[in-house]
Amino acid sequence: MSIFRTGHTPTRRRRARWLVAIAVAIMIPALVGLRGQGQAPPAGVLPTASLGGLEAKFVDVKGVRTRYYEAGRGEPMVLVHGEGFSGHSSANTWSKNIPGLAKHFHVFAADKLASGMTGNPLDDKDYNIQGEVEHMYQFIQTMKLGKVHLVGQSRGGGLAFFLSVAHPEIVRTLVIVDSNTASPDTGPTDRQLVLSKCPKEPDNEEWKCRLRAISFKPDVAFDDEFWAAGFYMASLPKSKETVAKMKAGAGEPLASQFNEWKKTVHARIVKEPILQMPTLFYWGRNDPSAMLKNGLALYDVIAEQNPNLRMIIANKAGHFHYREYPAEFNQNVINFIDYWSRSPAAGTTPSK
Amino acid sequence: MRWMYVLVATAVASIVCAPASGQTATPSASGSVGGLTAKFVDVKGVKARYYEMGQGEPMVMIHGGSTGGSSTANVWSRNIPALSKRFHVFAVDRLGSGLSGNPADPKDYDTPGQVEFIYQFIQALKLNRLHLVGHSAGGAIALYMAIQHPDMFKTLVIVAHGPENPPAGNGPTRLEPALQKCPDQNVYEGLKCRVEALAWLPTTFDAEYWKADTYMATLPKSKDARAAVAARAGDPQRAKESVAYREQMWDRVRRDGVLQMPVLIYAGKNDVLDWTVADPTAMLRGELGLFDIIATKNPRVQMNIINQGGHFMYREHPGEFNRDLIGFIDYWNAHPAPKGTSTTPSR
Repeated sequence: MSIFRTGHTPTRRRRARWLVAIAVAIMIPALVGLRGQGQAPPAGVLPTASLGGLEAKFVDVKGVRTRYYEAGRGEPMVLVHGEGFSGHSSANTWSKNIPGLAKHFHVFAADKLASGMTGNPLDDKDYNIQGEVEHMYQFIQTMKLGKVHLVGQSRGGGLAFFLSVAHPEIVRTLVIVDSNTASPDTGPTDRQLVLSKCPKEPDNEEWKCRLRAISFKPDVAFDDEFWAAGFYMASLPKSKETVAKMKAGAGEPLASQFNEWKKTVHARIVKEPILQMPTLFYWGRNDPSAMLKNGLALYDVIAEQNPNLRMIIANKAGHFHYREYPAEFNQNVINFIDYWSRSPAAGTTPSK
Repeated sequence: MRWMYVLVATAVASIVCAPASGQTATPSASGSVGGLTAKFVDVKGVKARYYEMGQGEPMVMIHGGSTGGSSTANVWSRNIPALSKRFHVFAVDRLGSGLSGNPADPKDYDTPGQVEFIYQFIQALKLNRLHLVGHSAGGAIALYMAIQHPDMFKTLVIVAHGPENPPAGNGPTRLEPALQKCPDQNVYEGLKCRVEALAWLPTTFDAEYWKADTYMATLPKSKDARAAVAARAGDPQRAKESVAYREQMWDRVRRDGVLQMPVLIYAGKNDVLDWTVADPTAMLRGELGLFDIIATKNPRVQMNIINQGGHFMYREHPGEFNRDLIGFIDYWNAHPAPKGTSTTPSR
């Protein structure tokens, strides 16, 4: 800032020349970048759209370039973000939690398939939750993580749930945060009501409005840095392609069969001891989107065969309560995993 | 063939252990269990039996049950040792329960008298800024005491309480069919049968627990307490007063916001007391209702739901319960609310 405040001095012209030089210096990599990923990030946004002093990395997951954060040491923990196929949604949602969790775990937070800066599926039929599950499973395999602590929020909670059903052998503990994706249908939520004031067409303002509307403390949960990084990722050509693919109906026929498929998964886990790892539900009481009743309904489905199931309900907490109260969230997750790492999980549910 | 070894080993063990278990057949005069030793203190002229263990910030634990003989501080026997590694733990028999004395005025068996007795116990032992833990009816006592003396308590833990909270009127609970198989609730066998029906896992209570419980509950003073409570039951004026008392307490929470300390509500997903006959699983309407009452004005309330946990989940999963309490209290000790939050919650 000081450079602009020294207006009437003989050095002004020299400074102006400097500014031009700086501008050119910025332009060169930006122009180079255009040939690769698309346009350069705007001021204040890192080329990797990383937040909170973290620096995302990239890895090839079966041909899909995958962006992820990695931090800490210890047992591997994989964080799965929510929302559908969109450049806006990304692992950035965990930016306030990664540092705290990394003190206890080797944390990995990847952008889901066709989200954030992770590439789009090679085959259009994979734009559905099954495709997302397979991609995240392959990410865990590619990184050679072995058995992980799996944490998922919203649609990412659904992803974590279905991944745990498909590959229970790689899930040490499971944490599902405010997710309606895996829940049985319990009728309408308050989601439509709170979103009624938001634009309908998916764009930057629609995304921002939607996330704020389902938060309890939107100004605490998100800041301009968060929005700018999301806007940037959504502006990339691959994200524009995602939007076009979704509009063209990619992901069918599985996408529209989702609810029926979910019912068959529920029927399986009610009958068979598949999902038995220690499992924590962590819900915000004031989430209008993944409401408490949705969580309680899924609890009953899992509880049938899983004695090691727990739920924590937080107050004055919305859909993104892990961003609203990061220290509290981290501590509760750490305590849960810490307890079960010392105590053997019970087997099949004893019946009275 | 392996079962035969087990059988022989069991037979040998029972012979070897016979003299020892013969000794516990006559429980200690203090009714103590779990290797603990209860003490006594005079609380305004009434003898109070209590366990004391550990060092650190004081924690007071209040057992549940309704009438003399249905519960004692012994319910916490699996929690006191581990919690005492972090806290100075006090678990007291309520007025008329266990080996605590009976009130001079039978009216004091009611909730306000029960609250006052625990309050006076805390005064007698000069405890302050403590962590308060209450189970079931003891959870109600803890709640009401925290409402009346909010500055005395750093945190509040309410376990398996709320079945009478709104929304009430969802039909009979799963306890009721079980109670029909129990003897009269005015005799000890009936109360014991009720407590057994509230347990979920077969591990909830053991022989030592029941021996001490039976010993205390069949003393003349316990029979007197039950008779006094039975004589007062069914008084419509009294019922009206207790409903009014409860409503007044809840109003002070949801309207006046007097309850600002961190509160943990702990619920067993298989608690038959909050499981209506019509529901396939316990819906926990009571505990969730209590959460919402407290949540109105207190941002720092959290609820934990434990699968395969009944009304006494802290005896069924003691290691986890202890860990959860310590984790909760540790967190809020390390993150004290900013100044002024008690009047204008920042959350």
